[in-house]
Amino acid sequence: MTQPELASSRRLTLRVNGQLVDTEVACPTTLAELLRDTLGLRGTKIACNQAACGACTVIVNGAPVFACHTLALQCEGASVQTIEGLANGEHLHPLQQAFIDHDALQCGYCTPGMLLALKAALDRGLPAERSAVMHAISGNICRCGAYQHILEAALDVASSRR
Amino acid sequence: MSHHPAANGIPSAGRDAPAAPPAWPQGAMNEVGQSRARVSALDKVSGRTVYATDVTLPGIVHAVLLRSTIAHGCVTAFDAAAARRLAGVLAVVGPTDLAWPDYPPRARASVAAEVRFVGEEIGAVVAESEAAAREAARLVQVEYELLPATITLDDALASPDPALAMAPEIIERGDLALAQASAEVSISQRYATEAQHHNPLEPHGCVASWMNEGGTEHLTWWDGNQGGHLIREWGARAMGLSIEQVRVISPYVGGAFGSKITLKPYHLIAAALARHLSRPVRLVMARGEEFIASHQRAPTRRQIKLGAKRDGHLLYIDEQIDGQAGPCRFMASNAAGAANGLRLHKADAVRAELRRLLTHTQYPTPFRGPNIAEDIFCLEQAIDELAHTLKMNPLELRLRNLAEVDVLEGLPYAGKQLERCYRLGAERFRWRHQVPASAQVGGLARGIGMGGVAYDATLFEPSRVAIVALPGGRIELRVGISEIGCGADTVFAQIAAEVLGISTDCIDVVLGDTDSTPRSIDASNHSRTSAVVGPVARAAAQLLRDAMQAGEAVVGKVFEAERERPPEGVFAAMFGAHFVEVEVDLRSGCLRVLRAVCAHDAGRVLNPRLACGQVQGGFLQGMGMALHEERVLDSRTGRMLNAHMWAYRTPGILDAPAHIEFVEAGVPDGGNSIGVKGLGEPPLIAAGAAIGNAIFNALGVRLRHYPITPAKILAALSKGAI
Repeated sequence: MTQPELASSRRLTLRVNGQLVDTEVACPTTLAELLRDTLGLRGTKIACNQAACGACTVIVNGAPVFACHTLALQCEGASVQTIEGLANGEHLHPLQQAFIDHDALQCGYCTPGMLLALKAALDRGLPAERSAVMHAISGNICRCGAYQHILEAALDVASSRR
Repeated sequence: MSHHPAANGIPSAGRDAPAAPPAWPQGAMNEVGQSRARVSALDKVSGRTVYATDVTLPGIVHAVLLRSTIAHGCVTAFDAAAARRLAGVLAVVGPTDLAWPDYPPRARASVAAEVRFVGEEIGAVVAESEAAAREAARLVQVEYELLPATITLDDALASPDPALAMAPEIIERGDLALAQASAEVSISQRYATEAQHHNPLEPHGCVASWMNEGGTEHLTWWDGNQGGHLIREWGARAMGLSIEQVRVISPYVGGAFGSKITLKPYHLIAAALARHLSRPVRLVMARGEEFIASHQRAPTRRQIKLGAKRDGHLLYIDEQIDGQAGPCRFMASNAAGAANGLRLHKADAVRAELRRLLTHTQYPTPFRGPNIAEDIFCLEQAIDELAHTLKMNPLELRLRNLAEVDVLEGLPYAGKQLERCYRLGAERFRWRHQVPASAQVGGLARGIGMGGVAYDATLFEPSRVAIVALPGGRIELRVGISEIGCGADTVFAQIAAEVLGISTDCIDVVLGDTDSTPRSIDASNHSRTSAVVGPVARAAAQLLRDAMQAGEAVVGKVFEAERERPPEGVFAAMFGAHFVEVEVDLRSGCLRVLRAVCAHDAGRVLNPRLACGQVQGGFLQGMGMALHEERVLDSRTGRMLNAHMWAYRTPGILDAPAHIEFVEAGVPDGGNSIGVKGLGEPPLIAAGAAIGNAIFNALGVRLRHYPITPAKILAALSKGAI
């Protein structure tokens, strides 16, 4: 049997939602695949796998990244936050509550990526301004077109943090 | 007719259905008409919603489809030896292994005899991992004999292939010759629309798994679709199984927009592979496949002729419409249509000749307002042209031609608030029409435009909903639909809560599983889910309430209701009118939609906040079709050149207008006992012409070929105003 090159693997250690992960990964594995397939964290969505839609957005060391175009091995020693780690137990993050209150979603497939892109921006001091919020999620596509409600939800949270 | 063939054979009117109960009163009620939170919102913001693409099972294996790289021809050699040698590969199937005689798109010939578009399924690879399956798929060697191919609609129009010809369909009412003879003003123009891709964020895909129970095999599809009951019925037929042997689980779907109504080859291939290997098979499209093989809206070309009296009395609408039907007749009804445009305004005579041209491209599936968006995007620009020729305010021209009777059916409307849409929308927008190109300042030109929509709401289908009081006090509502993002789960919970006099929070909605829900609808489409299933949810809750009031022991007892009898002698339709302002940069041709007011007659609005989301989202998809979205095909090879989310642009937040306002212009409708009409599709349909007309108003130049891109704007400006 031919052994494909993609079988070569490396050891990887990182933190995901505060939990230490120590695992063997195949070199071409993306962060999105690691999260979904190895760790079972399927809240992270793969929609385009082309770094073009933002559905796979997670936070790595405080910055929003496209997990579909980040190799898992690039995250050695990193701290990764996914949608599963956004709430504090049963206590929702204010963005999550605002998304519910404003109905800032429809099918929900872009929602985890939207929330994490906004969370990263909030943590970096997102001002309560339309243009700043729009810039923060300009890499995230919502095909259902819930942008206006998303904007209102994000502005609500950003202004309450002032 | 834009509906899919599943409706064939279903009675068009439910004369045997139970009589409708008294209509609900006007105005907001305790739960219905209130902006209750979406019942799935908590799961969705927590990443807990399980979509078909998230399903995994013990022993699951991964399939990747092999697709034709040519537009027309035969597979002459299929060599999978290298692919089979790759570690982890379990099976490779080719063209001779794929045949489903009772599956319409393949009815003419097997894939072994003929491939008919780039992307057509010619085989599949299954492996222990998706990565290995994709690697193996690259190693399969396929040779073809090329046959002549007709790729674009324009090619098909220029040199029609007699082998691909379909008879035209003609819709005609009134005396066109007489109307033409009495016209004092007339216009005749050519319009065009291009293929728009649904591009849902969740790609098409499923997990197929077989179980043997007491000697009988059972197939389960976890799938993202618009109606599990339809997939179950079609799938059982194609696989040669009884309906009871098939279960479809599709509760929450990551976007569909019409693309996920029908059974597709991936369902059947995943099921065949799972049966062959006795293991669950996961088969999910990559984004490129989503573009080239998950279907699209048809491109169209058309000639529109209008005639009127000088006072604005519309005398006739005469259209010839050509649409691209793909390689088979299966979905040809989605290539061209005109009915809803013809009923939008009153005219003495209407005529439309519809030609569906077969080509070696994938067939069109319904896309949110199929045919109707293409039709009304163009017709409503032509109406604007007529107003300009008449030197009339386009709002006045429309108000002068309101129809009281449906021109095609000869029936009065069950409810029609189009005039209210025009008046309330214009008032909210502060509509003050000025002559075109009067607002150019410093290289920027601003303009305003409007456009209307009519959409039939008459598809009758039997429907059932079940309800059961659970121990502990909660109520379970069982609805046989999939939730594709429109909020059907939430509005049905509100309806049941209203009848029972409890809070919406006390209702658990179970949906998207053919084993645990009755057949509420074949699939969510045609903006009819709330109007068809809503009254049945009301009736089911009423059965439970009646039993409780009679002092019966109800806990655990299932009450199931059927759809009420529709009213006779009336025609139900949805209406709307959009008003937009645009700003065009005259140097770059770049365009922004600054604001939009969208007035809709959707009958009773069940949940204003969710309705607002439907309107905003629909408007943006219409704006995408009007300004950005276009499939680019290589006219020689048939390959799509922009099958990529970077190159095929769907609107992002930076493209969205600062404000899209929903104006509720309806009143409870006479079409059913809860007074509901639809709101899913009309907001897309009304958006395009309003934008196109605003561009004319800004520039004084008419752009008749959607999408209206900056390049087209610059080209038109360089030619000068008409």
